[in-house]
Amino acid sequence: MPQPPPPPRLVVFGLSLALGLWPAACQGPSPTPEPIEAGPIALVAPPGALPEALLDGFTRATGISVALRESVEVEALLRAGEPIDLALLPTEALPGLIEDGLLAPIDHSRLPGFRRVPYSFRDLAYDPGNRYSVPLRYGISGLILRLGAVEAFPRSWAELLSPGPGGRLILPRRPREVIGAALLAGGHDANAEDPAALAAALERWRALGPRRLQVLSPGESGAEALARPGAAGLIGRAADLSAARAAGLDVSFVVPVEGGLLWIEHLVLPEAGTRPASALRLVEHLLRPDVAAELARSGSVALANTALPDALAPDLLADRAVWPELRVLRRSGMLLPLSPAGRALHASIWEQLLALLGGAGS
Amino acid sequence: MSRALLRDALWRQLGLAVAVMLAAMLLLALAAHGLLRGFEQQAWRGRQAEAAEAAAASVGRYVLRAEDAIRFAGVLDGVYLEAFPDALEAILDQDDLLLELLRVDASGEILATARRGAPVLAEQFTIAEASWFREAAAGRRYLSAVQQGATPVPSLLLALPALDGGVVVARLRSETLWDAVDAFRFGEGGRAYVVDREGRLLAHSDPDRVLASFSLEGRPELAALRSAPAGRWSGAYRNFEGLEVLAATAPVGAAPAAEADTALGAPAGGGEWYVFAELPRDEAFAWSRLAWRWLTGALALLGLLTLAATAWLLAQLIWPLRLAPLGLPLSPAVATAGATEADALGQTQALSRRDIEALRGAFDDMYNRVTDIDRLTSEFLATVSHELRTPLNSVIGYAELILGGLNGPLEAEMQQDVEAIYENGQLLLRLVNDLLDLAKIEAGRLELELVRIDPAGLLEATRAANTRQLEQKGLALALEPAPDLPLIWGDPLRLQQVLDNLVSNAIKFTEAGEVRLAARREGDWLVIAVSDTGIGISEADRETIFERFRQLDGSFTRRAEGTGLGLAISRHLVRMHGGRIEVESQPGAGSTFRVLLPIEETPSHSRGLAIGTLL
Repeated sequence: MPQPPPPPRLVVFGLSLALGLWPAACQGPSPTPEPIEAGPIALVAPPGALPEALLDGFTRATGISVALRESVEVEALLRAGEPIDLALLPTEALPGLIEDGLLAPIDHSRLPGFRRVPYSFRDLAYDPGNRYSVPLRYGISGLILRLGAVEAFPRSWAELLSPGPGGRLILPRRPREVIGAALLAGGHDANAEDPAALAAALERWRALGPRRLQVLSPGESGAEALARPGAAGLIGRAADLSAARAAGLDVSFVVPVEGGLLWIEHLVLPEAGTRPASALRLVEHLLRPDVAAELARSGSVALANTALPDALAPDLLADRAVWPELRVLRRSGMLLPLSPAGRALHASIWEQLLALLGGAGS
Repeated sequence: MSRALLRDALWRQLGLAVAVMLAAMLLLALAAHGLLRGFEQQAWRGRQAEAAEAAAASVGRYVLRAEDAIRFAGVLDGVYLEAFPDALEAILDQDDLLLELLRVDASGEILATARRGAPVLAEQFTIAEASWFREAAAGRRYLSAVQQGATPVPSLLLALPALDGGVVVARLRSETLWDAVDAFRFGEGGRAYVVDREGRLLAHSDPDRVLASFSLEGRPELAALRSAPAGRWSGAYRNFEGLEVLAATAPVGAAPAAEADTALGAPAGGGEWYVFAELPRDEAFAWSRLAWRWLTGALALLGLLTLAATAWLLAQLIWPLRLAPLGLPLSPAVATAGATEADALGQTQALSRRDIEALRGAFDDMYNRVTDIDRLTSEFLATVSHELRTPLNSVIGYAELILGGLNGPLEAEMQQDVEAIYENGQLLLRLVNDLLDLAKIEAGRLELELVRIDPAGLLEATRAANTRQLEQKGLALALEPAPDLPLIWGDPLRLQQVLDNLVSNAIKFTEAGEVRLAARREGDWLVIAVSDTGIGISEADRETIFERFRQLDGSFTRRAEGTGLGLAISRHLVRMHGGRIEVESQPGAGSTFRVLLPIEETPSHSRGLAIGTLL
């Protein structure tokens, strides 16, 4: 029996195409897994701000290790391009770093703990929408006075800076707070950039004279300086007050009538960081009520966390040096970022003040 | 002609007819699907744009509702508020959308507050640095992203400048907005959601998405929205939930904001909120998808049935050609000699004269029947080809119109689909035209319309017709007409078809070098030569290239694009002109096809050729 020739290939092709196309329309997407970052988180923070024990707790909970580096020059390290995954920075440093592209945007969808940040710290003008920063700690700088070393408590910065007899005043190595106090004393804003106002502030310190002023040496604590004979007061924070009390000094915290100096520190993710996801998990960890409470207890500092009133003991919350009243906070001058020209002016004033007092450089 | 050749010819013709029919039907299905899909997309795009505008208006009303209360609070100055400290409470009580109202002066000092539940804004101690204060104090309307705080009720902040240079800020219940957006549906799966300029999700049918601070930042639809004029954009993409969707966007509150200028000095801009109206692609193309599935399914079934019917038909027509089943009056020696033709032929020496006469008669009868079958097949092909051209021309025409933007701009995927329809339609049309010519030739119905032709013009027209193909291959076509070329009698369209085919083949098989088209007189003949520097043709192939469906590798495959009918038709057309085609070639060195046409004072050639001459 003769065999018929095979059908033309076009027929086979046409049928294959028709049959092949029929079921081809029912495909779906497949999700992509998140990458896992290796190595410890490189964290930079001011000395004592983030205790190692607290970070160990994070490592135990997540398996992610943290390499903490303490420095008073966090901004300088970031600008030097150091491979830092997470940093704790004061407000003043934020806009410049943002503008220079050194900070990475924060993915708020992976930071549910942000809901515990109070409205007072959200969406402020220097970082709208908290796109680059998560507020963590805050407080007020005021006067820490040794009882018995002063005859009468000064009620204002102006009164404190009045020439005359009195004990020695210790100045921290935080230029914005020192200059801010003198500006407030002169009736100016703590963030004033007016050269005349700044010159007047310097003149106030100069009038007080080197005999009544001392700038903390690098590495020296406020409590240590305050414990020395002749020291009457310190421009400092609640943590300094706590340390002085722990050292057995009889001290008291005064917020002058012009207002204290409100400072805020923020967690930021540097653009140069290589572990943003791990760093964000650490931020989330630090926003946990129990962790924030521990941080507040160990550092004698207020945390920007709405859960703390429930997580802290009432006696701790009653410490007005750590947790100032609302009216005190409203009255205080918030330390804000300066313009480049303002930063230069403030730096110049600080250098002149150090030279006047024979301080060991900045 | 042997039976084997006849059988092969029938198989080829019927097989090709079936293939063409199936391909045409597939193309028609593809075209129908593409057109339906295009119409569906256009229809949905318009409806979605309307839906987005409607949703934006609904969201705009939410904002306006809050603004009315805020504007009223902005009119009340510090003196009034001191005298009537409950004034803000009264405003708050008017609308449960408001969770908290705060009136501050130009320095950020609080003048009055009112609230439902725990205070939030009233406890803010950084008011002077807050974005809501800075924006509103600068005369701009401020709308925040969704805020979650210590209180369980998510909220939005809306701040407007007050008349005295201060600011009024309100905390608004987000759920009211979410309910308004969630209620907005179109189609079965169509829905809307709201984002701000930064891409932060403000309202969505899934509130958890909003509460998780989800943002569209980095997604292509947000980039497209940002670059769209006035916040109005439409397109298709895979959304953040992994769903293929068609979408349209609209800005919120742009028009109402203009009215706001007259009240409290709030500028236009609408707070930079945008509505996305999304529809799942599956739903948008449900009808075209269904049509496509039915059409392809039906085609597959039809194809199988056609193949089966063809096989059965051929079995009925061809297999009876075997001698014994024909019932011929053969002698017993022959009748029992064997079933095959070879067996029968092998027995011829033993046949009687009567048997030989009977066999001759049988073969004549068989030849006549096969000739009838071949003629019927050719007529069938001519009819089918003609009927296919009409819808094919429609498909190509519509595809061309769609590509030309008849229904607006096409998506990239859609553009590729329609281009595929257009290109394959053209290919199929060429095939159908060749088949039609073939069928006409074999049916003896192809006629020439003879006129006097200038060969030089014919050469020019050939070059013009192949310009695009030459450019694509980067080749040149050298025209070399002799100066004293005589006029000839011929059908210009058919001769043009012959030369186009030869030049097109030369270009197709030449990768480098040139193609030459020369014409000169040789005695009583006009010789038009098409030369190339291509792959050449072996001596064995030169014998077969004029057969139907043959290409240079001697197979029926389409290694090079083409039907394999061109040379067969060309040779036939030249023969109808009383001429012939010769070929000279060296493999690897190129080929020259010489078309010889008679130079006559009066035309003497217009006859078609009989069936079988193209084999």
